[in-house]
Amino acid sequence: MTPDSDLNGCAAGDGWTQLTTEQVEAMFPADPDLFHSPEGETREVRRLRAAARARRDELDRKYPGLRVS
Amino acid sequence: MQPIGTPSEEQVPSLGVVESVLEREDTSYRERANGLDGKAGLILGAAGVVVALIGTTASVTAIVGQALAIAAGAAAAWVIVPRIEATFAPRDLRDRYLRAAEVRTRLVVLNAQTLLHEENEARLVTKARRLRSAAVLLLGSAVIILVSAILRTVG
Repeated sequence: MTPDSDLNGCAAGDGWTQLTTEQVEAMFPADPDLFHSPEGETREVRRLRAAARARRDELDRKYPGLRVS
Repeated sequence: MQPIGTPSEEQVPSLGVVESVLEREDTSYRERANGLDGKAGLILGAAGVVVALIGTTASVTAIVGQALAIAAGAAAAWVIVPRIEATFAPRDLRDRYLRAAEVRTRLVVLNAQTLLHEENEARLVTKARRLRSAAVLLLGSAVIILVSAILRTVG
């Protein structure tokens, strides 16, 4: 994983070593449903989930098809 | 860009190091948040004492001092408002990732933890800023009361 590597070089096979950290995040973004609070559905939890969704959508737009489902 | 699939542990050799640093950071900011809440509690208590000590003294400086103490108390209570209690839902983690590849789960959790850390740090900064305001207001209140007492003694 090299942060300044060639973004277009991440085809199957040896692609993993060519990925940037952001592309790795795009493959395995934060799961919004993992956030939780012992106090229930608090504003903080909703805010965190919204932030995770926004980040995931942004990465999906930037690197379509990269997310591992 | 084609999908690459889940990497093996050898392909992310420092994953464990990054995870342990984030874990330490998590403990650290929770301690700092608790510290700020504790200090806010002290300021709240001190503001209450100032208000009670001045009581019904009828002078402009006493009223200003009392008003500042009340403002300090309100600011201190406001410090406690940005709660830092969010964490991961163990049941959801289990239900959604128990059968996933280990590295995949670890990377998803790492990215979620990074996001949580960034959000919590921002809240910590807000707490610290509010605490500073509360401390300044309480100090202002104390200074006004002290100056008023000195002037009364001299005059």
